[in-house]
Amino acid sequence: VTDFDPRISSLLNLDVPLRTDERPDWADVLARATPATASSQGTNRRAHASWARWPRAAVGGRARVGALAFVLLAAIATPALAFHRQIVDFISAPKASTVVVKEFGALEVLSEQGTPLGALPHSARRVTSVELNGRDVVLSVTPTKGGGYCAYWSGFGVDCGASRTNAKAFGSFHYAADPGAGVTLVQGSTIRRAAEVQVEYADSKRVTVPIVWVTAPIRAGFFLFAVPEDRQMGARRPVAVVATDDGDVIERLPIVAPRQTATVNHTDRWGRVIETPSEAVWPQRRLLVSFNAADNSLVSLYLMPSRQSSSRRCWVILSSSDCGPADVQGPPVQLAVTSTSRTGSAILSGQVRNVVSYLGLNFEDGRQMKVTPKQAFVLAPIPRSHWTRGHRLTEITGYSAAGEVVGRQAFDPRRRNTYPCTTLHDYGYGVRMCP
Amino acid sequence: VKQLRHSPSPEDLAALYEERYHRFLRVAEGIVRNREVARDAVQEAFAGLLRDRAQFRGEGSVEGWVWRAVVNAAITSRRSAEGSFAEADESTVASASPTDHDEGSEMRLRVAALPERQRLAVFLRYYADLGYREIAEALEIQTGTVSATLNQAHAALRKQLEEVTL
Repeated sequence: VTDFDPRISSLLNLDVPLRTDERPDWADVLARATPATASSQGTNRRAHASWARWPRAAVGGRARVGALAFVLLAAIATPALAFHRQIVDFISAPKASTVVVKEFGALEVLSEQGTPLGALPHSARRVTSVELNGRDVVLSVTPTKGGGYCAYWSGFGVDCGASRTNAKAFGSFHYAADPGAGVTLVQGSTIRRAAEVQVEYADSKRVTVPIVWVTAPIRAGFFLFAVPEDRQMGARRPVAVVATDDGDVIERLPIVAPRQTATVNHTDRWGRVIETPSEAVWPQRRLLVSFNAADNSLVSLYLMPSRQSSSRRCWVILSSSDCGPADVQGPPVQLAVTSTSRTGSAILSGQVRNVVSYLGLNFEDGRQMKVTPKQAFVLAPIPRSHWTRGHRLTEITGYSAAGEVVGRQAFDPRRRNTYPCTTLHDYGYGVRMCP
Repeated sequence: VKQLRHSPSPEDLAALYEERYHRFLRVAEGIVRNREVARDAVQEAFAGLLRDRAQFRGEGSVEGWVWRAVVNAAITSRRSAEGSFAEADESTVASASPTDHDEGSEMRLRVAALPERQRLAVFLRYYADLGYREIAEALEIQTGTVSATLNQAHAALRKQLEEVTL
């Protein structure tokens, strides 16, 4: 055997050094070699049933978490954990359905207004499915331009992973709890291939969650776990999701159950049914602002005390209600522009810190407008002349009573679907909205 | 690894897998330029070997037969990635592209530019530490051809290295 020039050999070693820090996984080989688990097709019921067979429970209802529309249409309970890991080859997986391509595309179109995710809709693949009370919940994934990924569990919305460079183990994590309906889901993704994901309960017990690992370019594992009914509340409830590697905890994310706010319905003088938190003292409400929008809808702002504390207050502004500190926390100016309907009015609404005495609105065309908050609330129409590009709001400056600038908030005039319009623009992927 | 003239058992394959795993992975990574894809290629290769172990004819060594499967799986993975999914795997492309001009990255480009047989022979010789006979079995070529192929690759790389040095 004639070996190469030592210098060439050493340079070749630089290319792909031998690394022994990775353990072989013969169990994975066996799983791949077994017909039931060798398929990456979502239609293989036997394959996915083995890692997530969900006994039925007679429950139903809706659960919401953050920006995800977690609409549970089926009854679910707990998986049988026959296999904890399924590996799916992304490249050979079948293409995702056109519905899923549209979902990813719509996400991309909508997110373009803020931080583009760079999802590649037409690269989406259907990787697996689980059966939830007789319904298939299909997992489809697609890569992003930045090397990340987005996932879509049918019926549960789109979820995109965090930056790989910043994440320790979890790329995403969501907890959807609606104990009243018997529904509690733990859903997310991990970017650590070796990681085992566990749900930790309040009684310190842990259960391993099945993962579907999807190969490059996704390079992430996905999980959707239904917490058993008898472990959804109280001293046995889930308290954290934990990623471990060979027993060592890599990352632990505490589960904070969404605040359950009791609400009460009221009827105002115009016959509208208005829902408020139960701590709101509705009989002592004050109508601070009311006017008719361009589409004749009534726009109003109610303010009322809280039963809990004199340092809190409650409000109903546009169609939402809430209670909070009398002086809002955070930036001095916290406003938003919304339209009451496609042909309605553009409304400026929100709260400011108590230090803000008046606001100066600056528009693209150089014009300015002054708005005075009422009890630190703002609810004001933006004139029709400022709905079109070239004339829109660009910045709001908050001033103290002495005329000093105490805060600023920028507005992107290119942001779509903010101002009313006469003709909707087609942005593709089924997304039509005002430009 | 014992020489077998009959079909290897799952235990034989498991032993070979455990013993040589990191070298399999290294060669596959050299071919596909992506550790994750390489890992999957190795796993898939062994899964296929387990399923098809009855097809081993005993005409060569088990190790050569296994290496052939790993190399073929890696080549298939690379072609799949290049053909059907070039647009998405930007991270892979980025990581495979040298960002500096050190000698290691220069050599990576040189090796990548070699004809396929030479490139594979280099990988198996240097990343897998295989002898000529095993390389011949893995690539399904004559032992003498391995020697000639490696000499050609060596000559090409040394010439390019000298040009760079000058």
